[in-house]
Amino acid sequence: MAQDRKSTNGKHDSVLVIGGGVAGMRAAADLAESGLKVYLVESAPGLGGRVSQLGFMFPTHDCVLCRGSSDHGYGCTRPSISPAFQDHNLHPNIELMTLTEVVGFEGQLGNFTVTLQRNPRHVDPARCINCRLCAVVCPVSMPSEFQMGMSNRKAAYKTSPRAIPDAYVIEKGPWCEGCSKCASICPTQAIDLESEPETVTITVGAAILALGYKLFDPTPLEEFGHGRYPNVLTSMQFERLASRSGPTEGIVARLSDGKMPERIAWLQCIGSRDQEHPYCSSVCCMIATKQAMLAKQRLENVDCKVFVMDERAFNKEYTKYYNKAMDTHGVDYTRCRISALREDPKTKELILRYPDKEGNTVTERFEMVVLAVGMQPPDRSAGLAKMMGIELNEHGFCETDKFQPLQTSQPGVYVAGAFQSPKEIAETVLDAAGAAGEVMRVFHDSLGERPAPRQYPFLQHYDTDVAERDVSGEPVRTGVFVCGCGPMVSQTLDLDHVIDKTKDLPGVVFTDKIDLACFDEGLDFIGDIIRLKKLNRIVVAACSPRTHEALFQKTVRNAGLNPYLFEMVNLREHCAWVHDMEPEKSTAKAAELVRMAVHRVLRLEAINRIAIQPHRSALVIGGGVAGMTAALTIADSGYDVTLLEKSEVLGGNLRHIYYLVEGLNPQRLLRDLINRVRGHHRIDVLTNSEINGVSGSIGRFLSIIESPTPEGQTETIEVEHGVIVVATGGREGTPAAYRHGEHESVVTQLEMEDWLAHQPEKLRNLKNVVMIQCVQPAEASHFYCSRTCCTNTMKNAIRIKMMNPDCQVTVLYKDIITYGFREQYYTEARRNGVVFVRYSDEDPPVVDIVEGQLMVEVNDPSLDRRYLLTPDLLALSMSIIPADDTSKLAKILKLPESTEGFFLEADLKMRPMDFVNEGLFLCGMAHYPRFLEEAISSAQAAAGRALTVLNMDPFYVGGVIADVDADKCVGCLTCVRTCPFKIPRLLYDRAGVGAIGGHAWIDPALCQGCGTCTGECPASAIQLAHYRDDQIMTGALGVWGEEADSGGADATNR
Amino acid sequence: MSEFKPGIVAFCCHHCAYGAADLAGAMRLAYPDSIRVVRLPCTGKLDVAHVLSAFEHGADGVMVAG
Repeated sequence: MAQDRKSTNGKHDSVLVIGGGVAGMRAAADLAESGLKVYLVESAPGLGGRVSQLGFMFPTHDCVLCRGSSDHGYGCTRPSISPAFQDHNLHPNIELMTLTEVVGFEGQLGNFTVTLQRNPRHVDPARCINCRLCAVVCPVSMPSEFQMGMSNRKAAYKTSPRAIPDAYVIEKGPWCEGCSKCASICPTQAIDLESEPETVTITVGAAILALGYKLFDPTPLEEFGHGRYPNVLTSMQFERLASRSGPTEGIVARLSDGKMPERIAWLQCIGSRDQEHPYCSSVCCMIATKQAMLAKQRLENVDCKVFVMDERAFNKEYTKYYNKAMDTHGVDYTRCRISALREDPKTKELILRYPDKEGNTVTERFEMVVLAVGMQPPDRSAGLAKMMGIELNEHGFCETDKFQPLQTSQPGVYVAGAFQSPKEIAETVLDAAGAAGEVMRVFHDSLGERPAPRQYPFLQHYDTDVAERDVSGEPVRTGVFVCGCGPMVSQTLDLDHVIDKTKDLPGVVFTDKIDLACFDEGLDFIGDIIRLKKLNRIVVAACSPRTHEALFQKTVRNAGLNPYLFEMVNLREHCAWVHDMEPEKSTAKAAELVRMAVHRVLRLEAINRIAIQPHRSALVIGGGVAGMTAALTIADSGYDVTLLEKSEVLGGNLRHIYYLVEGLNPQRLLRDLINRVRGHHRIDVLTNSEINGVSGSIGRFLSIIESPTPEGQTETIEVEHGVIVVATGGREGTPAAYRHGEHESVVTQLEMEDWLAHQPEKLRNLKNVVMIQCVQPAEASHFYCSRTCCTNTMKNAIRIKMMNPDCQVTVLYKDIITYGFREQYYTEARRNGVVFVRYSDEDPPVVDIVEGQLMVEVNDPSLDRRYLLTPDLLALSMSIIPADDTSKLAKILKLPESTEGFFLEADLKMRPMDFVNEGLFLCGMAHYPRFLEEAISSAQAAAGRALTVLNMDPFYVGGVIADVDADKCVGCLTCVRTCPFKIPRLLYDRAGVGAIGGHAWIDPALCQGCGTCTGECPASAIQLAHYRDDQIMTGALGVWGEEADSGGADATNR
Repeated sequence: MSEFKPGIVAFCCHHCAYGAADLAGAMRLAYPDSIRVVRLPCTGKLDVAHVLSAFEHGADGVMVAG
């Protein structure tokens, strides 16, 4: 067990993260990068949580398998949580404990004593080579939890093909008879069936609860027949069925007869929005929409029908996604809650009855029914909460304060993800980064004490290790190590033959076999030989570089060589395991693969990253609640902040919010925030100020700011800073319909709130109030859900009913979006007598003024009945639009915008607080409309992410990046146009080829190393380090002939 | 010409297609031994010249996967 440590102020600064799903992984990665020690505890055998079971994410349809838990670095165009989770190269500040439960927790902030029970894996991950022999011999066949019971697995198994840790596990439960066949066959003696649970105690300063959720089990609800009728699935079962890694490899087939269904129904709100679960699970509507679209793609002529009360598509790009499901894919949405179904015992079809638009009862048969099951508090969370002294809400989820949304009732314990409230991946990731940000703020004294500069894949701080040897000028001395992988490679390939064919290749001075190169003995051997034989190029022929490259690169580096003078050959996954029926041919292929690598390694060069000293300060743009929260989190952590506000006062939209539906006073929060910001010695507030230009990149920005002087002049200030947080917010859109401006009784909800707060006496005279939802503002080119308006309408409707119960309140809506626990305010409004009337897009309400009286006519499509209302107050719920000048700022900061006009983040799901442009972060309503508590947690998330950059000193940039040869560049802009990250730009003051003015420049701090520009450059003026043309082509060169050996590069260093 | 087995160079993105090829190995799927996988940081890195060069050096087919 690692030593715990007290920081200078006497606090323990390690952090316990409970739960290894996306939230736990995100929080752990950020804390580790900020230099804090993290214990990441997960009860399952591997990381990934529920997200690892999802085949695709809405609305991007990206595969989660890669994004959630893989080694995607930020360099890939498809980013994941963090490269910190590469197996064999886990971040050194993270101690990962799988199969571990928290059994004891006591103490207080800064000093918690935690007792952990570590259950045996029975397989040593350090010795497991993933040969799967244990699973092959295991006689047990038991239902697979990962496949939701739809297929079987062995008791010796791997949770998923690319699990973290990357090793098998043996489950000695009631299914296992203890035959020990697995232990006998294991070629590396990695299995110990006798190991017992261990109890360990650690001391931490803070904890983050990322427990996730439990899926509602619909089996006890007999009316839906789940468990009895084979073609009634839960949404998670359908998810597995439609997943490429599912039991049918993505073929959607009926469990009863394997037939491809032609009619599928989704029943929404199973275990949500009912008497026992009076909350909305927030994600099921979008999951059903996604699944229906997938079914449409996978099955020809399938009818997909979603039975839904309200389609809750309430986040960025979701309205577009929902419209696409209807318009492009023909998914049918029927507004109805199905309460029961029957099965036809002969055909196994499911029979549903529901009312159609005319009110007639229809009986329809479906070949498959999917129950969209809701979220429940995770198992054991009640006991854990009691032990940790944490209050739960009435539904069993973690109770938090709206003004401190990630703080539990126990100081020092934070919460992230669905355990706080049902939520989707992006919100979960925001919470996790926010909770990590809060922990950084509390332990600011210790930040950076365990430095881990971004030296992926070399997270170890090897400045304490051996000095790097300069090998330029030395003749090439290549060592080739061929690993037998226990028996896994050597039983198929004749390694002596491979070595025989290799030893006379150019540059090769040493060849040998190793039984298991990745074990300590193997690594030590490689290191010793490098030093002894003065090798300067290394080839390891073993398994996949995706899993083991970093491990060997570390060994190479620790032996004094630059880690890029190394090449790996994949003899296992790409040779022995796929051609095991043909040993001779695969041996011949192996020899060729090694030769390709030997030629490549000849041409490789050392690559060193550039250390930069970041400016240890931040620029926060926007002085609303998000901007102020982000500024305070960063400033409290010990870094200077410049807070820029365009208007003359701080506060943003919060200045106009007088009460919350939960009953809190937001003006109290506003006063508190402004006082803290104004009084903070590290925050410089610039009001009436705007940014005019920005140069530089992550770590070293220079901004030009226009700010007024006390004398009333405008002065231009230059500010240096390391990061930028964009918190420019949004605002209520301007009404352009429903007679707003023509009649004084037509107001927006914000105008009405002002009036309810300041002139409540006017309420007494009101008899009839009508509210219209989903009003598209003048500024918006298309409609999108701004997610806060429905709850805001409930708030105001309840208030009117409370103060004047005789007043008739009618809400005209399309879909009521009261997600999460906000559902209870919808229920409360209805209990208080608020009338809800649905209208459709095709037939919106019509507002007339007849002799000064407002007349509202609306058609309810579900009842096909027309209503004529005569309100004395009409309130419009306007969509929220991005702040004015968002586009202008986006151009200055070179940031993209979403279809709705908000800022567009790096990835909708996994990186909602990051921009692709590194060093810039996003929060609040500049991202998308959100509630106060969501704005606060997103600001904490952006601040936390910013702190991971500010804490690094030095900050390393470069590595495998593209470089422009100015002497060849004609300034044609091809690279500028093709770069997926928009990094290259033209330096007009520099001369390109033939002294033409202007050549392209790629900022080494920003280049992601994909190489797209190098492939497109017509002049071949750009080369990607480590993947130069000559370095790549040695791969194909001479594969089918021997000419490469004579025609290759000479064996001296370049 | 009884048994023509085309030699194929497969240019694979490190992040996805190369991983898929790894998975094929882990699942012990079989494919012809005349396929050579060349790992790229991203298929965006691929240049037409690389494809032509593969043919020039004896490849019968080139596959780009990413």
